[in-house]
Amino acid sequence: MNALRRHRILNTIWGAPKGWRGTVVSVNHSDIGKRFVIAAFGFFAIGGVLAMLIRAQLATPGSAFVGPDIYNQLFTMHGSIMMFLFAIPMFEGLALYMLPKMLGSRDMAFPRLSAYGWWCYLFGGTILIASMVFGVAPDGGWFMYTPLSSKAYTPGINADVWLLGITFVEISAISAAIEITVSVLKLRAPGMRLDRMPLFAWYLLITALMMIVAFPPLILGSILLEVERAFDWPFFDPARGGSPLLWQHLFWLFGHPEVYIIFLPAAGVISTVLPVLARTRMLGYGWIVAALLSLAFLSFGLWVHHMFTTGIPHMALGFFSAASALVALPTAVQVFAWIGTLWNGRPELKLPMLYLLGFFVVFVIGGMTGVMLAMVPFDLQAHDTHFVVAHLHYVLIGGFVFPMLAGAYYWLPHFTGRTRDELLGKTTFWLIFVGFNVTFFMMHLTGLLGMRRRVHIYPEEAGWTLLNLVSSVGSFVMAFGFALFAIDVALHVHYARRRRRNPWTAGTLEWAMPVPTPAYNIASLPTVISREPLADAPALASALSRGEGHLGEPRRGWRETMAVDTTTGAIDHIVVLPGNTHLPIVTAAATGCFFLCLLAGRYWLSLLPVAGVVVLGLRWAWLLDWRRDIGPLPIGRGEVAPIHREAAGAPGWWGSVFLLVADGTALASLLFGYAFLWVIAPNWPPPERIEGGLAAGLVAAAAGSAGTLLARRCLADGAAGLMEAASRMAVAAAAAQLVTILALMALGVTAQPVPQAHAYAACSWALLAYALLHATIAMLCMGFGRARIAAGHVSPRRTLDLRVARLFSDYSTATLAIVLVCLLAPSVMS
Amino acid sequence: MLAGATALSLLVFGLLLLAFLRRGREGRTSPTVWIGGLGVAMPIAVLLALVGYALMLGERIVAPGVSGTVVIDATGRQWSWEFSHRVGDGTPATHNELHLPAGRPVVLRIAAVDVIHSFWVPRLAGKMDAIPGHVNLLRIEAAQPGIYEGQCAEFCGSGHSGHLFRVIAHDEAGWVAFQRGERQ
Amino acid sequence: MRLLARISAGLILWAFGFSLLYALQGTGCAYGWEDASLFGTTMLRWILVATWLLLVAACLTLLRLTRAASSDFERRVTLATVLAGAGTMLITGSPVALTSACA
Repeated sequence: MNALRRHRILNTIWGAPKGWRGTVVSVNHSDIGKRFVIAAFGFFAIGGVLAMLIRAQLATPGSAFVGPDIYNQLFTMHGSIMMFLFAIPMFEGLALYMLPKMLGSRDMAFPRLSAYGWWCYLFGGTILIASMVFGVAPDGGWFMYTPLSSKAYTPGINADVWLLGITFVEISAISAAIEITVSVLKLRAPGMRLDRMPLFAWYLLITALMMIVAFPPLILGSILLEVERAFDWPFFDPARGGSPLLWQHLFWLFGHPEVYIIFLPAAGVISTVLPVLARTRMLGYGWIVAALLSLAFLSFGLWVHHMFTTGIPHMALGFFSAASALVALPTAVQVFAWIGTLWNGRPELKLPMLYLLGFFVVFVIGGMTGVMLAMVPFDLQAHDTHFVVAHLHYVLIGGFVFPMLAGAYYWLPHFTGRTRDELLGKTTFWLIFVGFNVTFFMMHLTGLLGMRRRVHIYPEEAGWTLLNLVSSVGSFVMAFGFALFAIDVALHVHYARRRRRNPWTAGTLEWAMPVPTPAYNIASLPTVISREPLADAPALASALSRGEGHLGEPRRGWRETMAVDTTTGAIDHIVVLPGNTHLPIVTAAATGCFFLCLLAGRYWLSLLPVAGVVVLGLRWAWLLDWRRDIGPLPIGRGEVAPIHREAAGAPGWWGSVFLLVADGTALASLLFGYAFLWVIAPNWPPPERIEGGLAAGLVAAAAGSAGTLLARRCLADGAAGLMEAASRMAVAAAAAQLVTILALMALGVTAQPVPQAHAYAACSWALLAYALLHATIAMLCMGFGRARIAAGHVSPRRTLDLRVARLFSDYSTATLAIVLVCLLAPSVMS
Repeated sequence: MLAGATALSLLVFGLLLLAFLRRGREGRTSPTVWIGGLGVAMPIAVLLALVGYALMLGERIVAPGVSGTVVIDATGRQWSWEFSHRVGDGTPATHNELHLPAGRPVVLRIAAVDVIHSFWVPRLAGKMDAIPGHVNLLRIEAAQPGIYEGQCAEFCGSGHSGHLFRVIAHDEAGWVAFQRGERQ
Repeated sequence: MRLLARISAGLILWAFGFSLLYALQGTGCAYGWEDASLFGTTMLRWILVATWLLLVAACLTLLRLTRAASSDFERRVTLATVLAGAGTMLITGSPVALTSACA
């Protein structure tokens, strides 16, 4: 087979149909990644226009340009769009596009999940933007503090749009996080040990793991607040044992790690681009990995620094203040590693480097003001002033936008296969850099002079007029810069010259393929023996397209790529990925209908799309069709490997594990909320406790345990080839879960006070609902397992379905035990 | 803190500039110097000093342990402030006007009736949120008699921009007169 | 996977310790442990300081993970993160000795 013929065959296998049909069904990571990046830039433009409106309003003291109601929508939407619709999707897009190419793989681990996440993001973002067009956009600030966002003070749907729309978009964040984690851990080129991965993959791996733990508290908080708004369950109402502080804890428990979740991928871009442009290798690989891990953990110990003025005891503030100061250390390690790398190399002032220098200047200043704000006494004065606005823009624009612009100019030739002269790009840089500093440096001063955030007018005699006017002018200069960037990119895409494939002579694998890349990335997979495979073998690209690596012979129309052992990079199995399908868009549309029903207050009707999602989900899993054993297959270079359905650590199993980690974090957040209210909130103890219910609880516990034991038996029988027995066990396990469900319902109805009565009752019902949901999932999994056995998808070799079902059963029973203890222990002990 | 921040920023920018100027010069420096020294040791020294100092300063500001001080209730609502002065025989309540004696520490008991607000008088330093269901304490002290402008610092809805109040710090005579119920 | 767990162990222990101190402080203040005095200071402070010192010691015992490391990379990263965890435990826990617990 020659290179051209191989290219044609692989293109047919991996490509999507032309036209709108291809757009709808494509699950290819390059397509999805590019869409994320482009859409995120579109939302960035919208958020930017909102920022310009804000600056237009603040340019003069008593401006009548917009009133407070519109102004509140403007800054709320500006913050929400930039955080949720721009920053996170932007790096998700970059990761989806780039990671498989850097890791020497042909796609991400769950292509359909990427596509589903993309459609959720697009539909959710559209709901948010549409609300603005209709004038009902959220107006309670991007932090949505209750009680301002509760029904009494925001009676309209503005707050619902935020809570539901953002949660819808979060689905894409969670799916991307699971996708990235499993892909980095499993789908790498053979030989790529963990410590041979490009640093960019480490950055994204740690970011994704952080997302898996950081987003659930926000999702849970949003659900609780939406339930309070819709059904009057008083989680946050102090009159009935709730506390507005609970929302702040849940929000910032997400909100602070979020800042690092945004920064780390951008820092990953720096660690990739900077050494290449300095013609050297990155200094201190191990140091950086250690710094990233430290940063990831520490960033979860900072959230209270957003709450220094809420009356928390000084000792608690001390914990978080010290952690907030220490988090500067891993960042300092990285900054000096970068400077040391420049020092050792021969840096060239190419366009991406210019943006990196812009990053250094802006980010270092932002870091310094960050340490200042970590100090309680200073923060008590500066909190909620424009000083904080200046700080956060220095950190986020400095720490995210500048590196991303550097990355954009670095990888544009990869996206397009073209290069262009740098004049317009340099003009763009200076407009953005100068405009940015003029805008935000002034805000430090306006803040120190006492100007609060989120005010639409200010008195003329306050002396902030000139500073504000200068800020406004600067912001328009910056806006011109970004417009010019868009023009520059458009010119690049359409008019630049075609050039050779590795213009920067970089050493990472994404440059070892034709650009723009074909749908399959690489015609065969390399064997990696160092951190910079391309630097070792400059002719690697042509060797790979000649099919000299692994999986160079396309077969059976399969989308094949390799999975390796997580640590050693040894060959583990072949992953056969699913192809183009309508399922992601249809499922996302059904999910969207669910959220729209809730938004419209049609709660019963919303069960219809839920049923739709369940059916689609089962179909989704069913389509992974495998009715006979295949055994080990040749993968080239004289080696063989099994396919993923016949291997132990298949991506699907790992994906389920990480999904359950996220799920467990949500439960932990709920338990934290329950304990927090019990200890801190006013109007406790509750007037009415759970009474009785012990019998129902014991039945539920027994049935749940039986369910999980039967699920284990089912798997054991399946693995031993006793299909009849396995089938019976699956049915029995599903029945046991059904008993659990009924017992839990009985417990709720007979023993629990009504949820509207008190936050205690509301929390109890929330815990019960959690257990019910998971028992239902376990039941569906076992039913699905039974059907798979009957249809011949399961054999002693092919037990993946049953292993995943067992995982969900185990999880359901473990959480059931926790929930029952929380519900029943207080009344049993008292 | 500002001087320190400026010095550190200039150090970073200077090293960056030098990295470009020495381009082409041979000789690699080890990660230990860059990362261990500049990236770890130096920031640790700076941060430890800063955290220690801030904790001690914070202990003085945040923890109100002074007896015999004037205690005043401050309650935020959309969009005004009520102040209830527990002085003399009665508890004179005022609307958007906080009266206190100059030169003496005053403890405020800050609460809210509807949404979250935040009590902040920039020239008297310190800021404390008014949260429904909780009572927060804040110690302030006006050195000189006079009028100080105050504002709500936590976003509280459409009237947030205009959610203002003023603090009137009395001299001894004026404070005695206020306690007797005589208003200027 | 095991490699990831081992190079994160020091930090996981810090996260646990940090949560524990914060939870003890909140619970102690809510249930009046601050009012019970014991050997010259409050019961709450004794509990907190003892927990803190034990946690720092526990962090340091993880140093033996570096001996079990299977590669140079793992050894160095583990050493760095264990030290980071112990140092962070020492510093972020220090307010238990330096600040007022419930005000």
